[in-house]
Amino acid sequence: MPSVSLVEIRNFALRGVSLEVGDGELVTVMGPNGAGKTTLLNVVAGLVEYEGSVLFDGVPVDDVPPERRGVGYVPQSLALFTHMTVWENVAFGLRMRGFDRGEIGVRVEEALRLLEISHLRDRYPARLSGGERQRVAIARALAAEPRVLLLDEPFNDLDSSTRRAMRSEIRRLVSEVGVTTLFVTHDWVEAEELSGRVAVLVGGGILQVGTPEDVIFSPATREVSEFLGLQNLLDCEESRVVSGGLAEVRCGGLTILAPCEGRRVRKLAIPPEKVVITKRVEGRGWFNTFR
Amino acid sequence: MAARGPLLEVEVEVGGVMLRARVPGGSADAAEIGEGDEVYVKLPIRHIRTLSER
Repeated sequence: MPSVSLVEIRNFALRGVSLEVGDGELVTVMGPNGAGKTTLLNVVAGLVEYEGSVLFDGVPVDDVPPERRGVGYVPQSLALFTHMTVWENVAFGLRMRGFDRGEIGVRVEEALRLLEISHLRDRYPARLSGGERQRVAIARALAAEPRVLLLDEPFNDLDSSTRRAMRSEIRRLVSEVGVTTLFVTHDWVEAEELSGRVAVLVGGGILQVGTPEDVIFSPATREVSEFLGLQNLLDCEESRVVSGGLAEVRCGGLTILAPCEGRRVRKLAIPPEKVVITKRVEGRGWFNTFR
Repeated sequence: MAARGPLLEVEVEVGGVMLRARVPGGSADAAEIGEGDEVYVKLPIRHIRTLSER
């Protein structure tokens, strides 16, 4: 799979975006609404005009039309054809690209197997759950064996348990297929679980690229910090692993139970909108309840 | 808590640590709580991000 390089990309939404995605790497792109995240994917796919250069493995693809770039794209809307079965949806792109019938059959079956939806082959999208529709859209994107996979907030309309399942599905696919992937999301849990690196896009510019930990605990600019909304950053003086991936952490006068990976916790971040303030505590109370 | 109205940002001191919270302006909890009131603060474990030693 190729590496993807974006060099000084400019258009109506982006102002000089540069980004490197390694061979087989999954990079998450995060940012507020209107930041240019979808436009960035459209640039890689060749669907919008731009200045600057997109390179796959160091070779410019700016003059290559979208259908020949070798990009698999799962848009936010999924864009499944309602009058086609699952099988026909997955086969559609291959037919448009002129694959012969035998090759289409082999590739569709492989994509259905990979996404574990072979049993749904004759169903129409209206008879699928949200998670199943998601899998069909990803199968369609992967069927053509793309060089680069673009996923635009693919889990937006899913409930939390399906999102969890799909996250692990994407992790499995990326490691199994090894496809270079750009993944747009608003969700930090998705970013942390799926990617080693996060690019924060605000106002059409990439303000920071780093590991999720780097971005959360060392935001490069005030805009990144504001986007993250993580003003509650606490230094931890002591940390003791208890059990089940939890540590008891002392920050100032508070002893807080926090997730940990078995190592000493140095800092905590708590989004203000997740801090609950109430006059009463009902039932037997929670962990991490302070007065 | 039903989210209604714009989010209100409040500061609350707990155990000597100052925390920021955003609560829906139209929620029952926001309506009940006034400046200087004693309150409970809950920090849901799953929303806490941690930075560990490498």
